[in-house]
Amino acid sequence: MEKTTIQECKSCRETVRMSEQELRQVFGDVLHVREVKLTDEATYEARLAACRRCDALLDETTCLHCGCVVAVKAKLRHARCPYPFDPRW
Amino acid sequence: MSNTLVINADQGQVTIDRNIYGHFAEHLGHCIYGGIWVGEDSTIPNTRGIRNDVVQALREMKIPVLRWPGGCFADEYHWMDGIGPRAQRPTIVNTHWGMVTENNAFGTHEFMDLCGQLGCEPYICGNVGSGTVLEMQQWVEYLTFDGISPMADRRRANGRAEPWRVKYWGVGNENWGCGGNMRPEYYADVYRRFQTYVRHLSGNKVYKIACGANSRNYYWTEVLMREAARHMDGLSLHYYTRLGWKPDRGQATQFTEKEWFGILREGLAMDELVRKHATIMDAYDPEKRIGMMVDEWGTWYEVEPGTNPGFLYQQNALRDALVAGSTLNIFNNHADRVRMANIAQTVNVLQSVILTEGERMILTPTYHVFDMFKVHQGATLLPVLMDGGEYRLQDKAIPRVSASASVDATGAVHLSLCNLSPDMPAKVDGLLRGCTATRVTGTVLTADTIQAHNTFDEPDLVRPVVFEGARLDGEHLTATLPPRSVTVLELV
Repeated sequence: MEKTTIQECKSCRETVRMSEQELRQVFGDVLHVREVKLTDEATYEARLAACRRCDALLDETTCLHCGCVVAVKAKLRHARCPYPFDPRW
Repeated sequence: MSNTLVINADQGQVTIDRNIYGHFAEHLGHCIYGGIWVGEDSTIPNTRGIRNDVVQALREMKIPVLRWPGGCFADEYHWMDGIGPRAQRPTIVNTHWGMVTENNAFGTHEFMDLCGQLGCEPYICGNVGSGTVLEMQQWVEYLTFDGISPMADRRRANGRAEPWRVKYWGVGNENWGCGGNMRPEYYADVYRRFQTYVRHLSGNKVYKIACGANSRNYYWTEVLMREAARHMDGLSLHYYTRLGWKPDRGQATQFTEKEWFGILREGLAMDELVRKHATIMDAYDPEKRIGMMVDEWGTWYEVEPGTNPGFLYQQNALRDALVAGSTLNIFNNHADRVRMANIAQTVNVLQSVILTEGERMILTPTYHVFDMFKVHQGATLLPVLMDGGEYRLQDKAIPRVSASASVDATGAVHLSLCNLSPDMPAKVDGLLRGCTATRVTGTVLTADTIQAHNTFDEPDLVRPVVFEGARLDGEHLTATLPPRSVTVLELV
């Protein structure tokens, strides 16, 4: 007889609130799984500033239009803002 | 080496319920908000707030039924929060899925509008975990009663004069886990109590679905059938195809042949699950009155890199198409008991048929499989003998070819075949008995690599094309299936 434990509860362990460590891990995952080109620091900061002003930013971390962690996405050179018909950057 | 196939086209008896090709949309990540609902003021083309592009794609795929609002969210959802003027609806916290703020903009009226636009049946899962009997009773009354009553009057005041028809009703979700961590004995009694008050009102006959087992929990099925069979019309089953739980779920588009094989093998285990749960159900319900509703299934990997772990946003590769095709073949072949299945989830979550990013939308390889397989909806299942040999990797083996067949109302026979080998074609040497067909045509879904997937920059990399590798000579059917492919043949 299979028992469901807290460890297997698929909802209990997921959260959209991410710690600094988790943010660094997400960034590491992106760099680990594919070749990515990064943007320069000035562009990155400008993009992040635009995200912080955006009404689609959830919990200061996540874009509601793509589910991306903005601190990661803004760093990717060829990323684009997914705001419908009105990209913020 | 040829592989043996025998189709007995004159021995069909069981109808493949179209609801096997069903779907599931939960308030999770951006499945509902952004993926389906954008609001009337959105610049994304919409009809009363619902995305036109998503609706059109799902209609073309002939979506038959849509389960909502969950999933785990269902046992947190209080339906009255989602009715009335939107500006006055309370904002709540989605405690199951990442503590996200839920503004209740998409509620009962919006869901029923969505089903109307899709042309599909609604399947609503009511709250047992944190809800009350009264709450569930009133929701059914609000939706379906045409007389004078507080709930019916409230529906009219909220803009809907006529009642809706809601056939499929889930009494709780995953009550062995997120729906209340109940023992099966306890849930069986809770189910008996709640379903008593799910009334058939104003000619709306409700098909009541009890929460069934998680994966190989056969004990749950035994208890529910023993204690509550006569009070249910359907019993659910949940099974996710995965290599492990976090952090070993693997990636959706970056994987080795070992992981390709592993996921396909885990997907094929659905056959064992269905057979064994069905065996238990047969003992208590030999006439097969109660439907097995596999109302959550599909692949589950780590989220797409760079996305929030709580959104369960997952890409969708050719491997997922093979899982979808082989699983749908399993459901077809067990159509005597499986009456509904709902792949998790429709848009932007887990094994989706559609992904969106702002105004952009792409169709996944899984979408194309559902589109190709829609010919089986409502058709008569045909017995098929398929010996495609084995696909071996190290010390394990799986069947190399997955198959199912049906005949539709026009007499056309459809055969769906999956070649699970990543690199070897499969030559099929078949006998088509009891059929007067003289012509075979086909469609195939494959790609150059097992990791191939569609992106917003390359949305059509994996798409179906005409298949010209089949021949029909009298009763003799031959076909050469490309490696890593899903093929649907039509014989007329």
